[in-house]
Amino acid sequence: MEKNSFIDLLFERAKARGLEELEVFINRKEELTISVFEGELETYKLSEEEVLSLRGIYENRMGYSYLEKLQESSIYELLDNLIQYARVNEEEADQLASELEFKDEILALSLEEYSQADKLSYVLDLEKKALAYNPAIKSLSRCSYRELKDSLLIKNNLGLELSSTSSRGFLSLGVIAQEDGAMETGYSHLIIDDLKEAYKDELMERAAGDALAMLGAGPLSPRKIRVILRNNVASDLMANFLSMFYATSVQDKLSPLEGRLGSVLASELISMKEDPRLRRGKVYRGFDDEASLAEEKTLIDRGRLLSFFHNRKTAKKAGLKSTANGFKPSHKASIEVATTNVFFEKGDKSLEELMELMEEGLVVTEIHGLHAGINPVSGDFSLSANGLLVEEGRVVRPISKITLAGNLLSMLGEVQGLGSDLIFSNPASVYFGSPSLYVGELDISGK
Amino acid sequence: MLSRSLIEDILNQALALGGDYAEIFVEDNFTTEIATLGGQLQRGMSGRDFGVGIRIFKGLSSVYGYTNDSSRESLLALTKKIAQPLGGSGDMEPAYLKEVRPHIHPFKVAPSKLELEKKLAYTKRAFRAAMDYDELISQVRVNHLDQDQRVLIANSLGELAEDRRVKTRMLINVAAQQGSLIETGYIGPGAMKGLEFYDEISIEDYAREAARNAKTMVLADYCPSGNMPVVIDQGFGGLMFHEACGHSLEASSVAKDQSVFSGRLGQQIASELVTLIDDGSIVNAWGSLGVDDEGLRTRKNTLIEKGILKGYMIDRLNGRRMGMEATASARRQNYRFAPTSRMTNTYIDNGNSTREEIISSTPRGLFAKNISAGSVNPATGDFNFSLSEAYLIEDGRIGRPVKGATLIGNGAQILKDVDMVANNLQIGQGYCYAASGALFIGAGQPTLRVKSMTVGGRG
Repeated sequence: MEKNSFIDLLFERAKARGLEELEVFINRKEELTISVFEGELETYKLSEEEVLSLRGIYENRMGYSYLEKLQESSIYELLDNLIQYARVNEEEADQLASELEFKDEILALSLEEYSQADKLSYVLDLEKKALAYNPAIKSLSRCSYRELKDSLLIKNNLGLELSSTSSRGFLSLGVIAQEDGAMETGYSHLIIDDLKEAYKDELMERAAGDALAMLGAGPLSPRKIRVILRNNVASDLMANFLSMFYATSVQDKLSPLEGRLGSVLASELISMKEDPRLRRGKVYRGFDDEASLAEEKTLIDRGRLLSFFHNRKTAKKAGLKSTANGFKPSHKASIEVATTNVFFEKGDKSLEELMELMEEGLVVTEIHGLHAGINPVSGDFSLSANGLLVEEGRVVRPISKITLAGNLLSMLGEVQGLGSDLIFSNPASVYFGSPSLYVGELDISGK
Repeated sequence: MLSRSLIEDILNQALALGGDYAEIFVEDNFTTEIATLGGQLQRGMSGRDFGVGIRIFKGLSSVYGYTNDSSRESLLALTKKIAQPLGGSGDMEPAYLKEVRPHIHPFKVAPSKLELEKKLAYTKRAFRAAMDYDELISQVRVNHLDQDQRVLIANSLGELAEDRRVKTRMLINVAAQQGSLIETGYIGPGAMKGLEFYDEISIEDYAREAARNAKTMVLADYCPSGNMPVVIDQGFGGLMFHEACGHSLEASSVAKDQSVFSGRLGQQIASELVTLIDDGSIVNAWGSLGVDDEGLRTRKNTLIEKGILKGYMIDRLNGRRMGMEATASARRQNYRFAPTSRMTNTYIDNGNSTREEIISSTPRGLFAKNISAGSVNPATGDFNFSLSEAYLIEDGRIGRPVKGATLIGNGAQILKDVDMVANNLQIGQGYCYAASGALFIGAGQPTLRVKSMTVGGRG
């Protein structure tokens, strides 16, 4: 059924069932993934989907529901689910936003200029070059291109109509190196808006560089040791801890940052910002899912905590204005607090300069176990890690099979050096950018 | 869900455009997922997923497309688009469709038949029991989720399967606070059943167990670091073997020679005490299915028997690369994913020791009572996982609780280092995240001991 006539029909039926205010959220996604293995197309995936999420006010309570098949016969169940939710919702509803029209659009236009065949040969060439990068590179665990075009329409019966379209490409490379029976891996990814040759080099240097550097790695005995979290590690770690800055976590007493607003939280080297319209970001949005207009903001300014991430509900509770962080994680979820493109501002040191500053210690190049080894309620973490042992400011040998443990907040307070090498975490989850951080001492365990 | 003639036309077209195998997956899923905090509904909703996925193979290349527009024009157009990179024409005919009989998992109360209000009432019981457990309990989150997933899978080999996967689960997360210290305890009972599941278990007992875990941990010291014997308790502790060796036995890594266990069938890869099984047919178990997502009736697969590698978990595409038959191990989160080899209910089988014998014969070590989650690099076999409840073992007895412990090791090594296995097998419920999405899985084991592991902590 055509989208606009479906919405009109839905609004009409909703009114007849006693729903005063109603808002639809329609997300259309077109996606293409190409991956290759040993010079051949391995998988090719193409999709088009259009899904609908609904919220509305019934007897002064908000209700929610969703649907993936836009057809007339589904409307009854859709409204019924919404009303059932509203009936058990104990919280009084706030009015929906009204009378705003807004449209933003950013397309990765250059990607649209390439044919499917161009994209396939680009990935095949990346595979060929990665395999030829070094004789120790025996195989690739991943070599793929993905593009996504995302269109959103938010429309309600109070005159609100917002739309946004954006598109982006994504390359990822996983490398397996083998030497003397030892097997090591490396991984890299990049959000792109064009198929540049330079991206291949960047991906190879990072993925192959890591796999090769780890060959011959061994553990280190338990100790306290000075640590540099390399850019990819710092950004992954922060991405997984970012929820402690969400006003929902703070208000639900599930964040160690309760009562810390305005206080010094981190070393003065640390400033944290969010830019919802970052070029080559995970998201490009001029508004959030509650029609709050979004702009760049500073959360931590030279170590001082200035703000949490708010949606309308948490902001109202705190007596503040929404920071335009009211997002639905998917069409099946109601509005929560979520972020767009958040990052630590970069410093001016290269990784080599940070190593010289540290003199003796460990550069952590890889961490695992983030989905379980961190406690966002306390800031504690205990993760498995790989890295490079540094003596007299230089790398002496690779280290693997160790655990790394500490507390995020104490660690941020101890940051003594900031790299200039800002990099973002995987856009599949929370998107966070960080340069390499020299963080002082952490605990490690190993054989 | 789709007419036979449309299914046949799509399969026909896929083969005519150069495919040598074609498959259709249709999904209609009524789901409810709600989150409560402090006994109040906080977020979530009920709704219906619907979509169709089409997959075509040509040799070792695979193309996949999906859409939620199930009209004839849309599906035939999609088939044509995804077949394009296969480049060519074929003369194969799809075989006549014959029905595959799924493994039956009976249920009574379908998720769409119970009002949201009643589902919410179950979560409130858990909230109340956890909150009343102790003064230190500061916050209780209870989530409920259910699904009534109907799927139709048909392929050009002539197999047509329909399956209905009804699942119900409650996740209880309890925080205990002392001063500014907050620790959490968690439990998540679930089954391949309808809402009757909640009347068959004691929700209150589960809630109190999560509260007990939270209280124990908030009073615990940090775990010390070092190498020591580790005793892992019965139940979801089996997740360690899911991570440590299960993933490395999936054809998705074995087929490309990218697993430590590639090419090792018939070899002794584990201690003789280790028998590892993956069984998607266990009646009403959380990780079970009637048929897998390629339409094969689920079954019990023995992966390791008394230390000898007996088999892998194989999907059709990787089966081609390996020259081996599929094992009813293909799974996907929903129609948005092409299926690949994944685990269902994976467990270490019973041994002959008892839990008491294992603990009393361990002078010093770590007792892992509950584990939260872990991950593995299938190429190297290096894994990690973190413990949500652990104790030191001192002089053959369970001693003081410790928090913040992480265990790391290598899958190939740990299999050899299992030196005692008890006879108290239990299977717990969880999720697994990998290439074909988030899946419901069972993981289990009897209490067992690993002679030495690296324990990481801050103490």
